[in-house]
Amino acid sequence: MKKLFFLLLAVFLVSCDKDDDKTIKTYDLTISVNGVEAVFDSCYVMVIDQQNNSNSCNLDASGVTTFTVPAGIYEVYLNGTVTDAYCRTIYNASQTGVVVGDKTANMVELTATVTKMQTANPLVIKEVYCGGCQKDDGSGKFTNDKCIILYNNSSLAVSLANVAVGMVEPYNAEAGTHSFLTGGKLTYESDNWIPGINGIWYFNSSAEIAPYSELVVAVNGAIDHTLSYSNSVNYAKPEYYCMYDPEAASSDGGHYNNTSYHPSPSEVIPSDHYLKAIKYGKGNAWPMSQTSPAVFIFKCENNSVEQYVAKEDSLVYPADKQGNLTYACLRVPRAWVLDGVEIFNSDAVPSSKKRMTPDIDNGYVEMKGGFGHSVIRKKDEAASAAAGHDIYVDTNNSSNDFYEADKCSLM
Amino acid sequence: MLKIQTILFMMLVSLLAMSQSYRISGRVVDAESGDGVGFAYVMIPELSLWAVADDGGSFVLRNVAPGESLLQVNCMGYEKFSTKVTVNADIDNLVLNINASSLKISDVVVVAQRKKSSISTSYSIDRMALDNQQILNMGSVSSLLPGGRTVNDNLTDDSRLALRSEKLEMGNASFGTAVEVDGVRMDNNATMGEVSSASTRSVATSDIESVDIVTGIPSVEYGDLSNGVVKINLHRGKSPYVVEAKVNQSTSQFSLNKGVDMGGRRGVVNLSFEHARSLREIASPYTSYKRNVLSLRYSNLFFRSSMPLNLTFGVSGNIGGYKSEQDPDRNLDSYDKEDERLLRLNLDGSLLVNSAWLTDLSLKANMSLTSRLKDRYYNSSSSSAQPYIHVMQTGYHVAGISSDDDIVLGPTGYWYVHEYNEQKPLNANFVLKANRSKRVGSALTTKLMLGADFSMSGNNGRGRYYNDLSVAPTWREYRYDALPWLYNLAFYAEAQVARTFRSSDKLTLNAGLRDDMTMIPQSAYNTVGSLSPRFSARYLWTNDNDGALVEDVALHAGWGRSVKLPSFQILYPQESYFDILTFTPGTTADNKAYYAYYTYASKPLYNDDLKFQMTNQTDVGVEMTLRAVKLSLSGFYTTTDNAYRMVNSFTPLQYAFTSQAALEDITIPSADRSYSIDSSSGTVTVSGNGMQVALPSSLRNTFLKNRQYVNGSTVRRYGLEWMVDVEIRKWLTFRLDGIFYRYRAVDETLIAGTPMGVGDYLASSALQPLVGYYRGSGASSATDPSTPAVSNGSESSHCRQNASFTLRVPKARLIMTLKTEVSLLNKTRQLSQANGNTRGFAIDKAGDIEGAPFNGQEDHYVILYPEFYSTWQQPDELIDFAEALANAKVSNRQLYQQLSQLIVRSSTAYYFNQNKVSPFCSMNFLVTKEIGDHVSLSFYANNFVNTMKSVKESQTRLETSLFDSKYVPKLYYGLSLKLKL
Repeated sequence: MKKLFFLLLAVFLVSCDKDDDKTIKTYDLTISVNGVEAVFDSCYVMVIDQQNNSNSCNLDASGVTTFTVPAGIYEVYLNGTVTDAYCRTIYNASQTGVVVGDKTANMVELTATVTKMQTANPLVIKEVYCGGCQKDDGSGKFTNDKCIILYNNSSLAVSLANVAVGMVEPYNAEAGTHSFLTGGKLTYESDNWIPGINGIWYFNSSAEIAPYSELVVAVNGAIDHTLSYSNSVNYAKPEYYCMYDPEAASSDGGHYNNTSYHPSPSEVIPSDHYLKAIKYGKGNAWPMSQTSPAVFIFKCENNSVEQYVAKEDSLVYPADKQGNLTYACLRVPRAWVLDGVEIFNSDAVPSSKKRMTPDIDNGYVEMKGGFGHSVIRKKDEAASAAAGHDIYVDTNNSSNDFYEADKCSLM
Repeated sequence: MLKIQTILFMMLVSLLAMSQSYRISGRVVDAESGDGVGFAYVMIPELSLWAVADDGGSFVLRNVAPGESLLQVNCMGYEKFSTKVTVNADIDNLVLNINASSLKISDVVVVAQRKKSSISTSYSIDRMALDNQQILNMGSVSSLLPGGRTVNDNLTDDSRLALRSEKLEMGNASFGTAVEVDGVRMDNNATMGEVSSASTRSVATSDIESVDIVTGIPSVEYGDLSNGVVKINLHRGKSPYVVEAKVNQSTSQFSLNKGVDMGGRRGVVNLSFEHARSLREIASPYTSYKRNVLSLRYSNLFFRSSMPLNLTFGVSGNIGGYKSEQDPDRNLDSYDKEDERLLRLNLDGSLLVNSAWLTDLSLKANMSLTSRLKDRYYNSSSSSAQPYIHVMQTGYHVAGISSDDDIVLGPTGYWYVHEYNEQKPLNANFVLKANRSKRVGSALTTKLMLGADFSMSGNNGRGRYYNDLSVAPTWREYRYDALPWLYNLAFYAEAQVARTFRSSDKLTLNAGLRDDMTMIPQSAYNTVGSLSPRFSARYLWTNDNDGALVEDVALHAGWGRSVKLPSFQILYPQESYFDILTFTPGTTADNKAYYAYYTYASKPLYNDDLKFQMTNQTDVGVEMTLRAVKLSLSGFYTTTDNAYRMVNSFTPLQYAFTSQAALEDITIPSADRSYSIDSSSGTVTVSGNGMQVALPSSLRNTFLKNRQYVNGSTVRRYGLEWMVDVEIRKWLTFRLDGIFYRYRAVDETLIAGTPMGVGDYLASSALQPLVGYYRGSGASSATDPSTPAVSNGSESSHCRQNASFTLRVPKARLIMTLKTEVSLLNKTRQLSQANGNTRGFAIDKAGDIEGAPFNGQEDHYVILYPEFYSTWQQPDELIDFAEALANAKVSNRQLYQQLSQLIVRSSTAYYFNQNKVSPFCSMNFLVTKEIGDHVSLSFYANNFVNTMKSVKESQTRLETSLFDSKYVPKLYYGLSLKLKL
């Protein structure tokens, strides 16, 4: 196109020469663009004259390019697109009525506007700390200090509106009875849902997670546990989130109001950092396993979380436990699941059975409870180096994606 | 009607009759040595005459009516002896040779025996049988009854006696089984927290002389029972030092017994000491139960030559209990123990008046005091200050840091909690009883018994308590010593007429009436009366032809009613407290959160209509001697009415909830805030920096649950017990004993319930809590509330057959028993019925809401609709459920869903399948060997082949291994050594 443009321009000039026998004077129009230095090679500038003829070229490393054009009035546009695993970033700028001639500066300075678009789910579960730690007096383990840490793998802040946390039935992978397991096959595997047992927790609609950032959700006890248990975690930090909703009631009248399991969060944590609960199972606490939970996060499409749960067929029970609140599960469409991790108790791997379907998590990660261990997602070193930020691997296979760490990353 | 008139006439004649009488005097001597046996009881039971031999063995029975009488001799350490005497003149110098209990005797008995000449079914187990079986826990003595199953003795198991019943049955059979130790009732009425017979593991088994078990119609002198009596008779009389040591896999026992002749006419003192200790796990010494029982009994006969007074004073004490410590390698100083102290006093006086109008007068005064202190010391820790609710008043309360606050904020860090639970049940009992026995002519004997029985039960325990309230978790004081005592005054009369036909055939008729007046002052029950009539008859036919096949046949039949008084657990169910979290400010930097709670204090619900549990019992039987074969057969049919049951009641409740988000706009810095709550409205006010801000709240509706005791439906049991003893050779006997037992109970009490919980909704919500009303419940324990269940009863049939070969070698002083216990029939099925009709619906798929009426279809899930439901707004209006469900299905889906949650479902499709367990058996071996007159060794092995067979269970169609199963005892063995010095 560029060649064609210059050819036409030459023909035009030659023809003028022939008519007027006069040389057309050209000028260098210099265009500099601010804010694209890092992505200059992905951007180009286009110049369009009043006859709608256009010319374009790339920027140099300093964000500058020069066009040689006859005097006239031009429109100048900047276009650029950068795509990564989760986002498309678009750089735009323009200026019209640019006069090129003897008495003008023939320079244009543009400032790029940057527009980012999410192209894939960037939210991952970065860490699950659920096994508890040893008490200082040697009397055993303390386990009411669990947390789930989410991470935004992208350069774009992600809204957590309608994002919720759930866990798959049964609570422990090594449980003797897996109510949805028949003949070695998960009954929901051939369907499009996964059962979230007992209750789910969802974020305040204004909550969001910053690019390449983590967000800590204290599952129980969003307080400074280290005052009593030096091996535990201090959750009394204003940026942390927590699961706390003593008002939520299941149809049996039960609340998550067990003050040992769900003590009132530290007053430094604003109440809009409290995840709200929708409780449909039994008990007075959200009983996340100390040894082997299967945790997942999902985002409700089309409805709010509350609206979805209120639907008549949203709850599902194992075949032989119809109507039994102990086994009440939310039927979560698997298309809504953003991430999930299947954890097995390392002391009971032979008796553990999978709860996650392969499309969510095709493996499992082992963990030994009671000694402060934590399950942490591996970092994608190459991608992180390229992005200049931490990026975590996400192959939907915990066996590859996670490792068992000696302690929670918050310690 | 004619028969009744005849009986009454005969009784009247007997009362008025006067006749001539004679004297029997003589000597009780040891058959082997010829020495006089002191302190032997010589009795003629049918005439209520008795004498106690002096230390030289001499005795005198005066005023003996002419005719043929059965003379019996009982003496500690000797076999029971009986002989017929015909009295038509004074008999002097009668020599009664009795045999010392030992394996030298060819017909020594080491199994339970049907009690001879008893008018109703009863069994006796004597010392030799207890020794041979090495019984360590009285709770397992019923294993010696016909068809009894062997239980491996372990004192950490506090299982209770329950006659003619099985576990997990309605009707509180254990609660209705009375246990007496030397005439002192082991009263369990004042014990809180359980509805069962008294614990018997504190009874020193080495001090027991014999055990009598009345499974048939007991005499009217026994009240406050509904399922029979177990009478434990302790040693009484002169004996050498008896040192005994027993050991089995988990228990060791050491005992010392001695009956000291005080010389002259100063009487006999029996001393007994026993130490026994059981471990729960063989490999770990940290959980154990022990008893240390010391008993002292003094008995003497006064006024021998005029009006003999036999006086016994006994005192028995136990210091022991349960202790469970944490393994020191694994934990800190936590422990769990129960100190058990028991003091039993009894004074028993029998005055042989022996006049025309009064034969015998007896007075009993006894007292039993038990102190059980559960002491739990446990390690605790928390990173957040926990609210410990001690509120006793209805209203809203906020937590504080003082131990005097109604809600105490507990500590953070590490600490220990010391928790106590004290029970001190006390029972006193006074009995005055008069007997008049008379023989009219040579064929008619009459007995009349009149008695009064006053008992009182109370509990001086403090209940559960903590010394340090700052660490006392949520708890309310409920002092047992503040509960009103239970008093019972009973009068009873019993008449017995015995008529002898031909030479030795005998008809005995017995009629009695007991009137109990139960007084429970300061309670809604006040005074309640109950009548217990009982009748029995026995006919003995004796074949006069020597060498005939049938030597004798005795038939007996009886009917009786007995009433079981309620216990404290039934009379005074513990107060209910409903606590709900209504406000939680954020946790401060020192991890304290000043929680607020709404508490509803609910007093116990008394039931003015509560009737006392009552059993009607019919007992028939036949005993027969066929040459070398002795046969005993007993049939019974019992119905238990008004069985005590606990139910829930629901009261609408509204409370105010304040969300923490309400604090968002409060400008008072959190460090300067203080919180208060209006105790009646629940409004939370935040104060600080001169400001006061009332926080908005929302109202929520729920139900309060409270407990109440009511009467359940009729429970039916019937069965057949048999014992066949065959003397194959003098040295080899064979016994077949067994039971066929059938139980059926369907409860049709209307109970309130919420199978999915009570519900809790915002007052503004369209949904509000509902309560269902169901016909019956499957609960079998009176300690737990009846809750909605698909089954409201069950039926079961059992047939167990035991076969024992006993080999006696008197010359070697050896006895060996090989016992096979066989279960021929073991069948149970859950039931769901009401008014004889169907109650639930059989459904095709587990989630269905509609189905076909359930008629016992197998392999179907079953659902149960409540008959009615009520709403939070109008709790007293009972709405037809089925109709409402059908309407809601088409017009109100939200209500339909809510009503669906009131439907109760079976957890499996096989739940209502009959569970028939295929026959199985196990074998025990017992051997006792005496070495001279002073040493005796016993060994037993239960399930000695350690069976590895399997049984089929028809309910699930699975096979279950008998190894380590509930069907047979584990391989278990024990050894005992007894020294007589």
